[in-house]
Amino acid sequence: MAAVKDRSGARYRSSVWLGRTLILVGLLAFFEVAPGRWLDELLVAQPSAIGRTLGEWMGLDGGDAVLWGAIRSTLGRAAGGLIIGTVLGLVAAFLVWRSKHIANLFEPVAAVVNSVPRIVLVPLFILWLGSGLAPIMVYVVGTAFFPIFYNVLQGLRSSDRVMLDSLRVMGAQDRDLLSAYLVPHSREYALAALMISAPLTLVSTIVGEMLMSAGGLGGLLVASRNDFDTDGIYAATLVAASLGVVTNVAVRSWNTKQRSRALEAEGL
Amino acid sequence: MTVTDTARDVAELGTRSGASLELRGVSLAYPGPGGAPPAPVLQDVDLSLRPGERVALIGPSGCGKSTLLNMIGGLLEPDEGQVTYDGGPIAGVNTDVGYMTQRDTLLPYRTVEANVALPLKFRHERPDDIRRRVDETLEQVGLSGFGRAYPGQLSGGMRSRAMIARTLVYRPRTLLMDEPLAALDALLRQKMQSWLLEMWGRESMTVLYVTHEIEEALLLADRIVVFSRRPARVLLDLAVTAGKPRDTRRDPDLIALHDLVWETLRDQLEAPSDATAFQEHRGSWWSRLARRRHAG
Amino acid sequence: MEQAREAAARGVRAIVRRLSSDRLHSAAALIVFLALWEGAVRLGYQDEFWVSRPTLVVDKIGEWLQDGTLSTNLVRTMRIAATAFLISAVGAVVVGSAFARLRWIDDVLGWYVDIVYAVPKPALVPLFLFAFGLGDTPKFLLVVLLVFFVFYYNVRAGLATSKQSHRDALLMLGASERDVWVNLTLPTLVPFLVASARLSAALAILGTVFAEFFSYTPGMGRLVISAQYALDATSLLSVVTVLTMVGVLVDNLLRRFDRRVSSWRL
Repeated sequence: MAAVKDRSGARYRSSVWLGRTLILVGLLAFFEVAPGRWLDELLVAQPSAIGRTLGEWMGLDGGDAVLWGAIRSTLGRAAGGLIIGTVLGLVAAFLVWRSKHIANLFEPVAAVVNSVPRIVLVPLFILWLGSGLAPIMVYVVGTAFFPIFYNVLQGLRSSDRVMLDSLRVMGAQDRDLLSAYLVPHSREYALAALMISAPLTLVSTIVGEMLMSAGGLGGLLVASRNDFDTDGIYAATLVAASLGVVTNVAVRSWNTKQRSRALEAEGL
Repeated sequence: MTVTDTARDVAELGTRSGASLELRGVSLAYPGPGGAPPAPVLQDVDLSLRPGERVALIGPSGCGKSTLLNMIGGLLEPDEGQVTYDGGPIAGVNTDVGYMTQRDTLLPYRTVEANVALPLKFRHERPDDIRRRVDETLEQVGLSGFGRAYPGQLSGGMRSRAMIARTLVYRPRTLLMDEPLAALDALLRQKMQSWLLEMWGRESMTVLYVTHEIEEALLLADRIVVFSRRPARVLLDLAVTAGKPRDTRRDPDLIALHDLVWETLRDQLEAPSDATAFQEHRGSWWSRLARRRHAG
Repeated sequence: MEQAREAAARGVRAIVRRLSSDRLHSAAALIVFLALWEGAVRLGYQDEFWVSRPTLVVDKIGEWLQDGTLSTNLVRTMRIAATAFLISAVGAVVVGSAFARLRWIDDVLGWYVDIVYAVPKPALVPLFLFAFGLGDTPKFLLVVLLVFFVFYYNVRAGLATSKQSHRDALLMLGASERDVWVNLTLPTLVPFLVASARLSAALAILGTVFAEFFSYTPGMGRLVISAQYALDATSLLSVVTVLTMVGVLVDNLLRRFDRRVSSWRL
């Protein structure tokens, strides 16, 4: 038998990881050495300095632990916005699907609102709703709402009329319809929407915090920039970046787990 | 057929412009998914075609007939054995051959004319020549008015004819046809069969024709080769000596041949099949790309 | 008088015929909403200073059109957005195609691409502004990042769907590698590219605007911030309106282009 090129072999995988590590190490080394020599040290921070700043922010070395508070704020707001937005989206999708009248009333409005660039509305919200938490939350909830609303609506609309009618004939009420058929059926759609809206809410929260200098990671970013704190701004960016990556990975693995559970349920 | 007819045919065979084809001890296996052992597809296949010979290949589905054609086309190399085309080895893609696949490979975003013109364009023929030959070929397959249509607008039968046109427009010396008339209704198929016969006679091509229909094979071919299930081997290699036109329903020799092939195939089809091919396994974007290569 | 009314009626009927019923409903909802808004403010239910009203917004936009505010800022924003969009799209196609051929590079660098994709890109703006100054570069970079990933992932998807059987068929017909690229790979990519364009056009414009919030160079974003600080609701709403219209227009153009390019799909 002919030898098939060992593309998934152990040697190949280790060479790939070697490549990845080399690049990372190379970058770190370069940025450690470059500021002061080839790059302006006011503009580029050294990884070691970034590390030190992070340490201070974590409360080590006698710095005040701003980091945890900031992360907590941002994550809290993002999660809150995501939950509220998702719930509203689900309810709205169900109501719109259920009643033609509500659909005729609500869908055009939603379409118009969705076509307005949300990010430009934030300063408007700040103007109207003051400088508290409200503008950010409205923005974040809005970000979470639309993907869920449209996706679940589509899921509901693609449901099998015949199935629903036969369930109704068997005496099912709305609640029963929901649990027996609608929820499992729309699940894929909802999950797909969450894959989009979860990272999006994190980004919107940070964006909102940036625009309002309202604490949290966004506030940290803007503050470091205003203070001309080179190490600080790189550190803050790094934290925000890591948070984004972690969220993304978490969402994706949760999604995969949901998928495999659903497949198991279908006997695959 | 008389002896003198046969002698004349044999003499003519030497001057026909079709190419010769030979497979010796050819074996091939596909790599198994993940860590599974490789699945043998062809096992020790011996087959040879003289220039201008018309040979029909019959065998159960999935037995590797397409793989065989792919090898003659230069798209695959055998693991063991040798494929010789026109006396020499096959180096890379074999463009001397006309290959009509089972799948629809018309480019859906180009018109029928553009599709049929492709091989001529690739050979850098002159635009006037291209236009003329495309029109001629379209007329021969009965698609004269449909040059400007897109494949999506045509029926399955018309698409098959367009593919035939594309395969023939550059007058290859050898034809590899993988169930080309399968999508046509009975009447159209009959028409196309007599057209193919006439065209093969005119152009003196060597033809390797894969079909599921024993009658079609008896109608068109000089020889019938019957393959087994995977791993495929040659089970029968029968000459069809009846004169043309052939009456597959009344000629006793043809009926006898039909029954023999039918019995052989039935034995093959009744044996339990091998489901390991169905083990899916996700893998990376790259392995999906690679798997597409093998699925063809 | 009679003729004018008839002409108007004909015009309205023509428009109504062209609009689908969804769009009609949306338009109607919008008009009703605007009328209510105007009414509420004029009747004193809402404070004009904070909420403004549609007619004031229209006036403002008119004013901007005349004194060049709109043209200067809008053109600047659009120019940056468009340039960054094009460069990023081309770059993503090149990179995506290159990765498709070089598996090791794809495995190593693609991993980093996936990581950077997960980074919340607006969060990088302060860093960009810090490191690259207050000019157009930070805006450029943000848009390049935003647009890049859309094209990159779509190009990968497009290249993976190209059917091997089509490729083999073309090779058998005598195609060179270049012929295959021109006749098969590229046309297969086109719908993915068009979809990418539709997704990322809005991102490009809004990304520029967002970056402009923080830089002090002219642009639509700067108009927004100055309006916010001046507590000028009318100007803010004017910018929102203009950007919405631009967004709808761009999406419309792209949708028409999409339909023309996929006309063979029927």
